[in-house]
Amino acid sequence: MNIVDPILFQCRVNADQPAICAPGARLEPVTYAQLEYMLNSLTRTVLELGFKQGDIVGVFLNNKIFHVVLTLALTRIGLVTVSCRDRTLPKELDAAAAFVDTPGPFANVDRTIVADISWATGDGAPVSPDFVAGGDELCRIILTSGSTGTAKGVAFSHRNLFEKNARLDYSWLDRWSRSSRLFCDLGLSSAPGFYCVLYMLGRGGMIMLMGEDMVGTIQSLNLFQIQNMATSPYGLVEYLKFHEAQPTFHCNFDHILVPGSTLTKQLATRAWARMSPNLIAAYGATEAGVIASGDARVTTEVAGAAGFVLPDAKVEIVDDTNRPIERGSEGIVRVHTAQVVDSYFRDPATSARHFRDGWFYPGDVGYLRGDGLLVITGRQETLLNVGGDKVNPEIVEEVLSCHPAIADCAVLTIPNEVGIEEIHALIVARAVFDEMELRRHCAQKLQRVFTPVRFVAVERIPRNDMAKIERGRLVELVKATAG
Amino acid sequence: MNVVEPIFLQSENKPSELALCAAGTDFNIVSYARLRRSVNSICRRLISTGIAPRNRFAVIIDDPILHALMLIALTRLGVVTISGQGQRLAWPVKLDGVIADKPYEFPGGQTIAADPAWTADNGQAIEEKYLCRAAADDVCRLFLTSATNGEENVIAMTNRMIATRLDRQKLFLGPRAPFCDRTCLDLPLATPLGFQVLLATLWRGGVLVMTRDVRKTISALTIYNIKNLVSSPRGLLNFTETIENLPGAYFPLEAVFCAGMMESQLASERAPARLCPNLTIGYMAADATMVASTPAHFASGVDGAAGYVVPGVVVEIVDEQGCALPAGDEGNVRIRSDYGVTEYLENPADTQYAFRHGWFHPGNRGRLTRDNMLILAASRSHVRVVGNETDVRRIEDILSEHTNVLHCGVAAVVNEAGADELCAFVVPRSYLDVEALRSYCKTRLPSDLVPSRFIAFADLPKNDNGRIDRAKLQALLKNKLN
Repeated sequence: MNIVDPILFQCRVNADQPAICAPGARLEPVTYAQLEYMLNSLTRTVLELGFKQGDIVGVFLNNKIFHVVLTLALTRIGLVTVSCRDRTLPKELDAAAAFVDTPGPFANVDRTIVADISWATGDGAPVSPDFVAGGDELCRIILTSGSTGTAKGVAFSHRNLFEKNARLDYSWLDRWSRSSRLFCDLGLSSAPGFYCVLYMLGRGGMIMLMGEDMVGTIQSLNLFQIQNMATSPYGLVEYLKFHEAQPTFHCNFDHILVPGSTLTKQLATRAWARMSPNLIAAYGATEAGVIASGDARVTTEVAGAAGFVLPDAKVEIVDDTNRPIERGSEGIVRVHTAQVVDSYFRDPATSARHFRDGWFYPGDVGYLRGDGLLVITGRQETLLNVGGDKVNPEIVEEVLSCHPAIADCAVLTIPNEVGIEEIHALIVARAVFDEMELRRHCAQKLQRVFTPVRFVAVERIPRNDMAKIERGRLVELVKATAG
Repeated sequence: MNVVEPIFLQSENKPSELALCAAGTDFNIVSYARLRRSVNSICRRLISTGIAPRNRFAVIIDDPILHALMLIALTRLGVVTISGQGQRLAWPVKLDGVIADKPYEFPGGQTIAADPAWTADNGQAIEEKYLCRAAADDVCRLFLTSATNGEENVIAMTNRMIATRLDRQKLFLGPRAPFCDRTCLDLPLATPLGFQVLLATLWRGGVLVMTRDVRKTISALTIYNIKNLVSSPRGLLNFTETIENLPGAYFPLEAVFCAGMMESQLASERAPARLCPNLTIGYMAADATMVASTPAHFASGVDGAAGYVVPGVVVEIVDEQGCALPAGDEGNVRIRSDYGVTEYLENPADTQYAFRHGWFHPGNRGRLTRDNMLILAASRSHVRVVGNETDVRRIEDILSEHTNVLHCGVAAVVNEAGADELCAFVVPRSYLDVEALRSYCKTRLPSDLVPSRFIAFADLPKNDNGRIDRAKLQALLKNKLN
C-alpha cells in the first residue's frame, strides 16, 4: 500500500471536512474533496514529466499547501521525495529533478522544474498511475544534519512510514490521538513535521501549517478550533513572546508537543502559565523514530530528562568500547526501534560511525534512570570544552535568552591565542545591548568559565526545520562577522 | 514488541484515569493503575501454575473485565490465548489448557480455575525474566471463526498483524472514530474486532466500556461521556430499541460503527435518529481482514452495501472458473491483502479450499461498483420474504421469549415450490406445540414474518458467541427430512 492511499480513502468518506490550511496562503483551507481534486490534477501533470519509478526528486516550494499536495502526488506515482530547505541536495542522492518556485541553479541537481500552482487546478478527474508503489519501496528521504552540519539522507519505505504512524497513537502520550485538529509548526523537511502531516491526513483530521505571517496564523487557531500544537522549543519561545505581549489573547491548546530538544523548566513554566497546562516532551531521531516521551511536569523536574523510553524502543548506555554500563551511570546513548534504518543513504563513511551492531548512535550522552526515564546530559560532539570544564551550549544559550535584550542566540567555542577554547556568543539583539550588562547577567547564573568572552551581533542564527541551531555553520558566521 | 506493552506505558502516564468499565459487573470500573496492579497479580498467580510462554490456553470467563485482564496478563507472559464461552466438548486446535471461571472438564490438558480475587493481590511488578519481549512475528492470539464451508476453524495472529490492524482501524471505524478515545464495545473479546478495539483503546490511553447489561451500559455512556460505539447489528438494534423507550435520554456519541449488515430502516432512520447520526458500517471477512467500510448514508438504499474497499485490500469478483468479472457484475468475492491470515490452523483441507491461489474466499457473492464499493448478495442472516427484507434475529428474539422455547434459530429454506419460506428451528422445553407457537408469533409479528414451519430439535449448532450457527441449519433440516 502507498502512503497516499489512506489519504485518498479519507477524501472519499470525509469529503467536506477541512484537511489542510496555512492561513494567508493562496489556497486555504482545503477540504478533503478539494484535496482529492488537486491531488488528481497534480498526479496527471507529474505523470507527464517523464520520471521513472524510484527517481529521487527535491521539493523546494514556499507555499506549504502546494508543497504537501505536490509531495503526495509525486509519492503516488512512485517517486522518492525530499523536502529541501534551500536550493541544494546532497550529491550522493543523485536527484533526478527539483521542483522550485523560481528558475535558477540548484546545487547537485541538473533538472529544475518550476512548479506552477495552476497545475493543481486541472480537471480533477480520477487518475490511476500505471505502477503502484508501496510496501518496501522507498518513498521519502529526510535530510538530517545533526550537529555535524553536513546533510545526510535517511531513506524510508512506505512500510516504515506506516509503522511509524501506528506508533504515534501512544508515543506522544494519550491525548495526542484524540485531537482532530493540529497546528504543526515544524517544517515539512523535518521528520516529525512530515509525520504530523501523514498522521492527520491519514485519519481524516485537519492539519494547519504555519502561514505567511505569524499573527494571521495565530488568529486562525481559534477560528478553526485547533486543539493541539507541535513545535520546537525555539518555536515555543516565539509563540510565548506573542502571547505574553497580548494578555487578552486566549490560547486554547489542549496539548503542545515539543520534540527536538530538551524542554527546560523555565520555558515550560512560562508555557504552562500562558499557553497550555499540558506540554509533552519527546525525544527521537530521524533515523529511529520516537524513542522516549513524557509529560513535561515529570521531565522538567530532572535537568535534561527526555522522557520515558517507549515500550517498543530499546535504549542502552555504553562506554567508549560499546560495553553497556551500570544503570544510572552516564555514558554514550545508543538506541534501537523496529523502524530504525541501518545506514545513511549512500553514505557508508558516516553510516559506519553512527550505525553499529544493529544499534543507532545518535551522538548523545546521558543516563537511564531505574524507572525508564532517559536523561540526556549533552552531545558527544557539541559539548563545549573550556579548558577541561565541559558545558552543554544549550545551558549557556538558555541563560542568555532570558535577557530581555536578546531575541536569539547561539554559543560556540573558539581557541584563543594560547590555544584554549573560549566561549563566544552570537546574538540577535532586540535593542542595543551592553556587553558588561550581559556578562553580569551570565555571571549570576553560570560558572565563571562559561560566561562568554565575546558577544557578536548577527542578523540571524542559522537553524534547521526543527529549529535546531546548525552548529556546523556558526564558526564561519563568526569569521564572516569578524572579518 | 508484545502487543500489550503500550498499555503499561499508559499506566505510567495516567495511573488515576479510567481504563475499563463494565456497568453491572462486580468490577464496574478499573483505572490504569488498578489495571496494572491487577495484571501483575494475575501474572504472578499464572506463573505459579507453571504456565509457560507459547502455551496455548483457552479463556472462558463471563465477566468482561476479568476476561480482558486475563487476556492481557497471559499475553504479557507470552501465552497464546483463545477466548470461548460455555462448556465445549472439543476445540478445533490443540490446546495446553483452559482457564475458566466455572468448573470445566478439559480432558486434553491443564484446567485452571480463575477467580476475581486474583486481581486483588499486592500487584507489585513481576520479574523482568517472566515478561515476554515477543518478536513481531510471534503468534499471540487465536480466534474461532466460521470457515467458508460453515465449519468452525481457528485463525492465528501475530503481534505485528494485530499492531497493523490497530492502525488500520482509523480507516475502518468511520470518519469521527479516530478522534474518539472513549469507546463502548458491544462485541465479545472472542471476536477479532472486539479484541482489537480493546487493545486499540488501551494503547491510546482511552476508556473502554464493555457491555453486559444494556440498560446500565446506556447510563454509563452518559456518565463517562463515551464518544463512540462499536457494535454488531444485533447489539445496535438492542441499543436503539432500549433508547427508543427512554425518550428523555441524551447521548454524547460522536460515531457509531456497526460490524455487518443490518436492516435498512435501522441503518437509515432508527439508529441515526436516536443514537448518533454519524453511523458507519463495515464488513470484516472470516479471515478477519477489514475489507470495506462506509458511512451508512452513502449506502442507504443499496441492499447489501458493505462499503468502499479500504486501501491495502484488493477485492475481486470472479466467476466459477476464477476469471475476474467487470465492475457491476455479480460473482464470487475473493480477497487479498497484506493483513489477513493465510491459513486455518491445523486444518490443511479447509485452508486449501478457502485460501486457494493466494486469495481468501469468504464464500460470499457480490459485486463491485465503479468507485470500488463492495455490495454483497443477500447474506445468510437476511432473508427475502415476499419482497420484504427482514432480520431473522427479530423473529428469533420474539420466539425465545416464549416459555416453551429453550433455543431457536430461524432461516429461509427452499420449499417444494422452489420459493423461500421461513423455517423456525426450535429446541422446546417440553413437547413442541406448533399451533400454539404459531398463534403466539401472529400476535407479535407482522403476518409475513410468522414462520411457515416449526420443527423441533434436541439441540442446535452454535458458534462460539453462543449464537445459533445459521450456516448449519439448512444441513440440519436436510438430515432430519431424510
